[in-house]
Amino acid sequence: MIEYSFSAALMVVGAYALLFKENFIKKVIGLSVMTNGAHLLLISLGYRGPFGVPPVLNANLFYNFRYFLVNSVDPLTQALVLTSIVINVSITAFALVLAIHTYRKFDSLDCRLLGEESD
Amino acid sequence: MKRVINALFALLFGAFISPLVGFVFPKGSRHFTPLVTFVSFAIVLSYFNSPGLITNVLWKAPPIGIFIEVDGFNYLMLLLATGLGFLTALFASEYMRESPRLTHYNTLYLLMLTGIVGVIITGDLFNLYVFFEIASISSYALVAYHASKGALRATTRYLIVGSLGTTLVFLGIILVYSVTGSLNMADIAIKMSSIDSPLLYVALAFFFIGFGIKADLVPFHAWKPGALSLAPSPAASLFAGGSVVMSLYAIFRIFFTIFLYRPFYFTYIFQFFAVFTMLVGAFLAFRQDDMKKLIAFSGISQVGYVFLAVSFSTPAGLFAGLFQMVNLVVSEVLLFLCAGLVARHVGSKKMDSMSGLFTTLPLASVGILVGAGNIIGIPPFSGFASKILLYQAGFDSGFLVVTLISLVVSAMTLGYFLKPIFSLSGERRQYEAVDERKPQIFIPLASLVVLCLLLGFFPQLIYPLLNRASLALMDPTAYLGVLR
Repeated sequence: MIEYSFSAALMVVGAYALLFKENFIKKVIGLSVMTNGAHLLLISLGYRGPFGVPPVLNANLFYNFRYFLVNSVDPLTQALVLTSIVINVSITAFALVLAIHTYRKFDSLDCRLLGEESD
Repeated sequence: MKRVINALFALLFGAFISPLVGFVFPKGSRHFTPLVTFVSFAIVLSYFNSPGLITNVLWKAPPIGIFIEVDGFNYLMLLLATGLGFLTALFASEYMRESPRLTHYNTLYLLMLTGIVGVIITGDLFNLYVFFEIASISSYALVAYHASKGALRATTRYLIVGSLGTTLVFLGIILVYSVTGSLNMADIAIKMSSIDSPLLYVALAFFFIGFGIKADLVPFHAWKPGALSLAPSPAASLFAGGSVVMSLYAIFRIFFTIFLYRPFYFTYIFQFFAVFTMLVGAFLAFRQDDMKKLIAFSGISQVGYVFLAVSFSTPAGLFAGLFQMVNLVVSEVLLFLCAGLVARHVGSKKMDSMSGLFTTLPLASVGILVGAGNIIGIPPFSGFASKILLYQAGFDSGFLVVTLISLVVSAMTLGYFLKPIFSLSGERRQYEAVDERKPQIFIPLASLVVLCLLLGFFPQLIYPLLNRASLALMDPTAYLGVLR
């Protein structure tokens, strides 16, 4: 249960920063925190208790195949998290480039300036 | 080898070599995007006469590997997305000709279309997320294309809301995986029939919000009009066409196929959001002066109709909803392309400064008239047929109040479209000349206008396609059958 509550806390903090902070960079940090909370949740799903083994079949485990099947850590969640990290790095990179352009045009990173509709 | 996934590979490969083509042939590279999208469209079209399930296995058998699954419902969506993507790309090859960063635009356009097509054809929930992100990230960059102050504002807003939405979709996938232990959509659907966990309903809510942001349901719509108004016109057409198709597909697939035993109150949730979307979209459209924003709000309002029709969850309702969706995306794409031409012609998007366009820009004016008529739903256009079917389905299934509300919103639609229609008449003014007779501009506009009129006079032409789609949505036995 602790991993659920911890990642939920991270996601709430991140979403708060993403939505309510005024500084653009803080928003980007909030986005990273939020997605990392989700990654933490996913990676903790693959955890198989204190007797878990890496999902790599070696000679020793080959003879305890049943033990291996029950206790090996779920490799799929790790692959999914890896994919998701790559995706979120590209979103963060895009957001930071956007921040640079915003700073050049508006001379500020304050997102309240971005709220006004009139040009 | 003939496989439907080649439609996706063509787009992805095209997106990767597009910068190279732009570098080697700076002059001829503008013809590359229409070519690639046409290849993709042709591959999809070649399956037109093969009803039933189209499956491709990329690696390993279904419950484990990478799996492509296209039934009647996907096929309709796929046809719409690639067909409209091709027409828009053809239009862009002339419209964006003078643009300084054409190669950037082409690459992003192809990547976004790759994401859209990927979401539609995949049979795997995590692949769906990855393609959804591909489409999202390239769409952020497309909104920021002009890098003006307004575009940066719109992109920032879109980025914040959009990344929140994609994270929610990711969370929903995590929750589904934690409960069912599978990522294959058919496998999840089968496993779900024996599991009942509250986490699944949380996941369902996350999916609904995450994809609802892209489909511009009302509480989540704030990014859309600004983004569509400031993105380049062909890109805005892709947002209004392909992106809406993609997110509607994802929502309906998740609600109707994956969550076979969806909660009984889902009808009311859909209707709640549908009514709000219709009403708020229509009310906000009244006070717009910017033509593209008005069109964007009309699109938001029409998405509500699709949700309303689907919420009846009778075969007639699904049929009407899918027909309404076809009309919605075809006419939105047509309207955005025409609005782009008009904005270039007049030099402004404000409708107050437009007058007498019928004489100076006849084809685009006809396009706006037909697109508006189609969205309002007046007789010679296909919007009439779909709206009549929708009202009939609503009255037949006993949802009188919401159906009456949708009738009222239809009248409001006529009201707010009077403004752009009046701007077509009036005295002639001196504007910048735009040549409509170039084939790259004439063909997309003319074919969309002809499509609207043809489906208006002979709506039964599209009935087989819609029948297949609504039956597949209603009864997913064939979709789930691949595992048996």
